[in-house]
Amino acid sequence: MRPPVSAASVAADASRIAQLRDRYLAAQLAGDRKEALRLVVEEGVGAGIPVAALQAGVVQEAQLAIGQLWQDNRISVADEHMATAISHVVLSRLFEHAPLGKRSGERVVVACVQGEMHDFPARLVADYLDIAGFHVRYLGANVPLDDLALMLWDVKPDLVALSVTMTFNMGSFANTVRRVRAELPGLPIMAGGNAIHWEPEIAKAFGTITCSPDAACLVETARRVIRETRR
Amino acid sequence: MNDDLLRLLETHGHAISQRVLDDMYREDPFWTRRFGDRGRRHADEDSDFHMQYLRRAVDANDPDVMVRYATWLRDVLVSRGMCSRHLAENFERLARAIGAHAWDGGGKAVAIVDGAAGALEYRAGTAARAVQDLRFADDGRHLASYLADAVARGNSTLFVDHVLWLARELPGDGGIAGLDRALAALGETLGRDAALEDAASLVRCARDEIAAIRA
Repeated sequence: MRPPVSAASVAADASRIAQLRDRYLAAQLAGDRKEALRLVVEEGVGAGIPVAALQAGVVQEAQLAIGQLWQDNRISVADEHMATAISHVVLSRLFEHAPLGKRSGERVVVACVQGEMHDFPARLVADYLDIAGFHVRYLGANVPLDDLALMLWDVKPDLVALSVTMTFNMGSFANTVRRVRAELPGLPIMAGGNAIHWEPEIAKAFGTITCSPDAACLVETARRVIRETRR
Repeated sequence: MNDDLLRLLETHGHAISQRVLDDMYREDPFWTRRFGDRGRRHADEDSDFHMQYLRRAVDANDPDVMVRYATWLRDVLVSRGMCSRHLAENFERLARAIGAHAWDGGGKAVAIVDGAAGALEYRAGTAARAVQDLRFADDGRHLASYLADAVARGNSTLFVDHVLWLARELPGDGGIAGLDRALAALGETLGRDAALEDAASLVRCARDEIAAIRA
């Protein structure tokens, strides 16, 4: 049985993670990859903070802050790319430290639709699902539609997760959904990314599955959808 | 009909948006002086984004796609030295340029782009909207727009930095004196409405900065 968790300890954890996020953000902006890694590995994992909390509360939150800093003209595109590159390295290291869940055998393909260059959100989703025990094929940014279709035929996944960040790539998203439906009818499609957030009605109209971008919701939704599809 | 319009926008959109930008740069030296070649390169890229989002809004039959893009882009550009009126003017010109082609079904694209320009008005009843609604000609209109953006964001720098840039660019004390007169007129108008005291205070602050330069 787990020990009871007090409100005070939850608040203390939240404060610790928030402080770590601020220092991680500073390391990103300074281009200090080693310090960013040290913070999450030594002061995060080493101090007993769960990997999922570091992925979401430090790396993901810092990335959101980076986006806002660019929007406010406080950092350049180069700064933003440098920071994101650091977060990719850090996610890799966190992945190594994550206690992998029991392998479920459920296969998931995660990809950015053709034309979509922002792969960080998809990467995070792939890590969340992989750590939770899914067998994940992560295809990264700008996956050509024909190649995605071939991969789906090859892997025969239980679920495909598509990421689209820029709204003008929603046409590509629509084409991808139509193609997946034609090639593998019945394969559930999960949709995520900022563009889906901007146009949620499109995701619904296409019958794709959406959920909030936190690990628990993603894992729970993926499990439920696969279970329902198998019935 | 959507498919035809999308094809036309795909084929001609880049040229249309570039012509709009060319006109803006030719008619107003502000653009080159304030933002230089780098600014023009960004403007070229943004123009292509305008067309991409417009095509998406047409395809989705959803004008809000363009509205969300416009308000998001406004935040990006205002923090980089432009004002809402600049972006609205860009959209208004783009709508007129698309409308001039008299394409079958082109009115839909025109309405979407005009809607995006309209969406750059702040919410009715706010101080920022009241400042936007002040009626000034030309330079005064842009001053009011910078002021409205600063008020909307609670960020005085957006307005004061623009005024200081103008003061540095204007030729001699005569030019600065003209700018100060425009600010005085703006301040006087704002002073008639107690709800706009924050905006009036920003104008006074900008005038103080100018006085320091003249001294």
